[in-house]
Amino acid sequence: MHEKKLSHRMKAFFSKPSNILLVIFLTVLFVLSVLPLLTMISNMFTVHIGTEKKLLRLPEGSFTWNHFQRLFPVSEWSVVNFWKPLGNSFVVAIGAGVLGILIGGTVAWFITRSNMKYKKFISAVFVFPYMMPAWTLALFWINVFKNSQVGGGNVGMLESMFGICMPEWFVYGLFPMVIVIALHYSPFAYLLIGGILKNMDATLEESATILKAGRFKIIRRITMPIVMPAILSTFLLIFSSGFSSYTVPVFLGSAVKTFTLSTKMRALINAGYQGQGYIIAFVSIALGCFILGLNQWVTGKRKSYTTVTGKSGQVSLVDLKKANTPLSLLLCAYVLFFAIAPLISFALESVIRQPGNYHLSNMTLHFWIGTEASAYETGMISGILLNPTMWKALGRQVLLALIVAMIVGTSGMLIGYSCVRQRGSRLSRWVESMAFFPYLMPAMAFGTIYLAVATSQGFKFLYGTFALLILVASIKFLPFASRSGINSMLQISPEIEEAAMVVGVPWWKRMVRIMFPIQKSSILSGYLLPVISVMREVALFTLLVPYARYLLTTMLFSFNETGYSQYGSAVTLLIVLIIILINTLTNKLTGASFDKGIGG
Amino acid sequence: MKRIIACLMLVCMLFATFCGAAFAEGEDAVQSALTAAQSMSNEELYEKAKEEVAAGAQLNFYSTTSFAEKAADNFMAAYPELAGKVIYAEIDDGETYTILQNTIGSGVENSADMALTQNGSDLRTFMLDEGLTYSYFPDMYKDVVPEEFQSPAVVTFIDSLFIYNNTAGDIGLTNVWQLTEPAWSGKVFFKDPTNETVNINFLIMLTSPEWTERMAAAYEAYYGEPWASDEYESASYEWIDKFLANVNYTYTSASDMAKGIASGAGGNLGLFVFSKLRKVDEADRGNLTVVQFNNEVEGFSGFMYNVYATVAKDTECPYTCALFINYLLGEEGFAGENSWNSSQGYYSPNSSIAKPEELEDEAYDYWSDKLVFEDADYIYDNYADVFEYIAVRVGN
Amino acid sequence: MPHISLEHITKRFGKFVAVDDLDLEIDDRGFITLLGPSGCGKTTTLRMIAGLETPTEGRITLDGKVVFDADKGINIPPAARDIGFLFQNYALWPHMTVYQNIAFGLENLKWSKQDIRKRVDELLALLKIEDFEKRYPSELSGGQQQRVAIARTLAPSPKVLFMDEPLSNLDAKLRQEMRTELKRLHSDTNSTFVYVTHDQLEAMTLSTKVCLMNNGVLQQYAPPLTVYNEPANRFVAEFVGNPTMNFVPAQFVSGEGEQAVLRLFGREVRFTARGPIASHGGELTVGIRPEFLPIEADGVIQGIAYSTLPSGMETTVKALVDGVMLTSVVFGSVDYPVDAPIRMNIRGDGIILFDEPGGRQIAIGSLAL
Repeated sequence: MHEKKLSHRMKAFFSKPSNILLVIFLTVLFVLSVLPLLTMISNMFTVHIGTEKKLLRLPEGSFTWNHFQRLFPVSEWSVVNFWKPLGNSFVVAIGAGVLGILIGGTVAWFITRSNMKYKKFISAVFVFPYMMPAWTLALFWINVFKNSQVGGGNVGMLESMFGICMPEWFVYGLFPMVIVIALHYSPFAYLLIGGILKNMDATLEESATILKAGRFKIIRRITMPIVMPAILSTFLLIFSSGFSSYTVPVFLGSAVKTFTLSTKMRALINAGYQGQGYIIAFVSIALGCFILGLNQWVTGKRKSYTTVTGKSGQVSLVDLKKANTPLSLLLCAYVLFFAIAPLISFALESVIRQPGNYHLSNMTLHFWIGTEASAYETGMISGILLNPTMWKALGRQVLLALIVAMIVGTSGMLIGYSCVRQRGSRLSRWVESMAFFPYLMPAMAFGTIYLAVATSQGFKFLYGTFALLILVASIKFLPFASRSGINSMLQISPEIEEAAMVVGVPWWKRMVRIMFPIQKSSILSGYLLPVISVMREVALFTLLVPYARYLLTTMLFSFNETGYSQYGSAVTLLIVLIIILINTLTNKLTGASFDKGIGG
Repeated sequence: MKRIIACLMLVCMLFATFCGAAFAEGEDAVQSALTAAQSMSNEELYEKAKEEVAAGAQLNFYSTTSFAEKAADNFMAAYPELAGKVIYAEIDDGETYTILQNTIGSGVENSADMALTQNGSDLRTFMLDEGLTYSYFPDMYKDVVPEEFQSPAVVTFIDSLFIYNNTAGDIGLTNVWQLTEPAWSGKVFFKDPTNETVNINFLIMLTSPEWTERMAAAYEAYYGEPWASDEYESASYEWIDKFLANVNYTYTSASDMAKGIASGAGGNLGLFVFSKLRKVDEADRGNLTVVQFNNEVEGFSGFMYNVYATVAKDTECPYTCALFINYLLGEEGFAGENSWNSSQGYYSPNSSIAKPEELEDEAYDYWSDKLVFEDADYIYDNYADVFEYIAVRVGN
Repeated sequence: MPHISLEHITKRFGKFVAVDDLDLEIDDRGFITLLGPSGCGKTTTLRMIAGLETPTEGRITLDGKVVFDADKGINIPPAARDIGFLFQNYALWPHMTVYQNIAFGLENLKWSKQDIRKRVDELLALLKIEDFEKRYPSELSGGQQQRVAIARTLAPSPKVLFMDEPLSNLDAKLRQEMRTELKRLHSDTNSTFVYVTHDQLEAMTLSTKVCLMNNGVLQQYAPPLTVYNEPANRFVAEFVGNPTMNFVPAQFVSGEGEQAVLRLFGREVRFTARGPIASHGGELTVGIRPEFLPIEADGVIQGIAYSTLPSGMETTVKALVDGVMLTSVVFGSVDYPVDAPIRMNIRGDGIILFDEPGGRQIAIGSLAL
């Protein structure tokens, strides 16, 4: 009798497509994000081949506490390899988080809430740094500020133009790391906070005005707390990204011997201390989870932030009065320097033979379209546009981006659909949070986890394959897509689907013919974001590509690492231009844009 | 419901099939082919290679040196029927063995058939000991290549030398102990040894008995008294400690270091890959002086490391690999157009190949008593201890 | 106590004119409604008086003090205008409790903690929301949120209270209830209320004076009953009153002064106005409120029943006469079968003439059929 009831209930449960989807996603996400994590955790306790095996005199794969004993108790080794880098990572992550939010939030406020001039230009260009790989900004920073007093005594742009020498702490180390990471992620803060500010009911602020609260008091007591969830989740993102940033510290830190956890993680893994490397990866993830928990605890459930959207068309913009022109110009100068100048400098760097010499006689298009067999001098047979390896790498990257976007965008939409339909159920909460989990995993740690999986027995067939890259990128970039999927599905009332259900339209047809077209622009934005993310991602792939020139970004990173700076600049420019092109095209054709994918 | 279960089962089965495809085959065949290849002539190997290629094989070879790409082009030009069948893949030095270890024998498409790698100790640990790659050396070069470089086969030597910016005059480096003085703080450039295996290997080699003695001798020559210390295990450890304290890690690549020192401040000294001088723009080239070509240095004036060629255990084209290794060891391969020998800083183990006269360089033998040479066995045995000593100094 | 005056107020958003040359005098302690269809400029007017929106031209005086003058460049910020503002969606701060929401304005006035406590308690009691003091807005029902919003607005005892469709988000029953409360509140607080609504019933029942606007132009500014009985034009007549006034096309036949003969439903009828008729001759429209169109067995106007809508206390009857749909209200519950013949009379002295085209009211009087 009982069994029958159960089977009836199962049948009822699975008669809803959203439940089937949830079960499938739960399974897939469990396999692809929880199991790898468990694999990595087990690697924290095992002896690996090579250094560890030799050092511990234990057979490969046997259980050990040694990695923890070396890394945590205070010793010369643990201080250098864990505690000091941990401190540095914290400084970088917190600094970048705070600064990124300050920059992005301030610009967002000016754009959405004041009568500032040149808004269109500023908001279009402000997001450029996010489209560039982060370390290229670091290289830009070095190129501008290096000078005869620091590092190798090479003259940078600022010194050669104005004779100004910035001190060492300004050029290398934690300070520029914070700045560069903050700059890279500030567009994110801008889009998230700006989205909330734009949609926020203006009467919330107006009512405070009438109750005689001053402008700053309103920002402090009303605007800020309401924008707080966006601020916190932006902070969470920048913090995790800053904490795990590998490429930026590599370029900005080594000159002053400043190492962060992620640079140490890679060094330890490469030196054969895999166990300790995995522990570091785990620490990064645990920290991400901790901050997420903190975030949820701070915002709390009671203060619901869903506000009735009011007549936001009537937002009265704050009149900047006399400060308008100077402030507008200042902001323009800012975006010109950090968004346009890097592009110009990449373009310049890609056409000069001898670094630092910007004479016309020193310029050449060799690095773009050269054909001379100059492997001897430059390391590559020809200019990048004529180089088959480059085209293959570019092709793979674009293909990867498109496939990942298809997978991620579709999954995001389906997750959005099923989570919204079953909102409140335990299953939907699980899927929602599991889809969010990869957000907390630093890209480098994520790559490391999959490295551990792909190198363990039974999964070796994955290693170095394109499929692995697809898999990893799809999981890593799922959180945003699923979030935007949930947001867009929340805006469609169930009646719309039910109306079709009543007349017997099958589920897939409801999705394709009704749900998708209604939220076309926001769903397409969900597809676009992964494209851009994949196009400029390197830390996630660097451990997993079969060789450096496999993808365009890993190729670029190796160019920059090995000093082929002209090729590097050319490829960087190419990547940024491709991303801008994709974004503009999609926007023109469909109305979707990458900021919609984030904001909402 | 049944349909879902069926779907799930299908997924599981597909998964299992993939796993099953992972095991390799014919490993013994590769070993015996390589043994047979040893005594074959190049013509015979070419015949065999043609058969392999005709059967659909291609030679994917992974390398950390960019010259290998050119060598592959020359090789295919010399053996036209192999054209397009030798595929070069560059890998990052740090990840070399992680990648090879996991792709060889995994059944991955385009996994390495052959690898040109640095760091003999790791090669032994991760590849040869694990049976992932085999060494191969042709009989025809047994007499011209010293035995120690035959198993595994060394295809080229590369040296890193003390090179400085001469725009502020001669730096007067005559003894390596000078570099431990506070005066050199921040003026010695060296790539982070924890990220650069050849650099760490060089430092590890200094702790060997032979070099401990030579470092002590250099100490005595410099300070006029025999080395003695309660603090340090040996003269070498003291030198490493104080040297690393002075090192500046501004440059993350040897090319950048070469270019940067050339265009940077006078008196800056780098210890970097000699061949990277070719990356320096001609206008700046004159700013650099190789210390050894100026004066002798008590202790050493740089270090030398090896690039090895080994063949993957699951290759489908062992004869093509053998032929390619033969080619690299011969005059044609090493000294062909735009290949290793055309640059300073590369030396063939084949003693019949001389460095071109026009290059500002000397033959391998010239360097034999002036540089620190890699001893893979010593590094293999002592890696962990010295690595940790060095690693804590880099991060401080 | 405050007297508000608007002189030549114009507001343009780009090319769109939201409010066009508006003059308005709001008396002290009045309960003024700004009434009109959506998009007529009423909310903009309210927001301009409050200082949330800057007029393009004109002058606003609040309590004898010029708070805005486009020519002199005076623009006093809302905080300094001593007003209260109740928003359509209440605009309660989601991150503050009910208590904090109400206390916020008093904090800004630098009140002491005890005084704030006292005042908030007073308001909580006044609006009967004592139990919700510690709750967040999301934990309240719409009506409760409304009360909190009112309490928050009243807390600093503003001399003028502006309300922007405050009841539109409530259900019908609650709206009814709140209307009563608001009217009561008006007399209790002794302040001037300016109230925006598109619901003519709300305007009729609440206000002392209605300001009816359309397309940014003031249509009529008068007490509700005046607006109802003596609409300035056809728009006002149509907008106010439920069921809507009947409009019947007619022609002038002859007449002068207060007298006129009209052609209506194909017959000639005599119209006697209360005063001189503004213009004679040509086409016109006769406006008849449903209550002046009784259904009587001896009715002169013959038509057929189109549909009957009984609502218990009264019945609305729609009838077709000469192709014109006429609405009549009958006391009690009656039911006419569809297409049954119906006879009606026109009675009363509130029959209105509008000129055509233009729709201006030219006379009010009675018709003799």
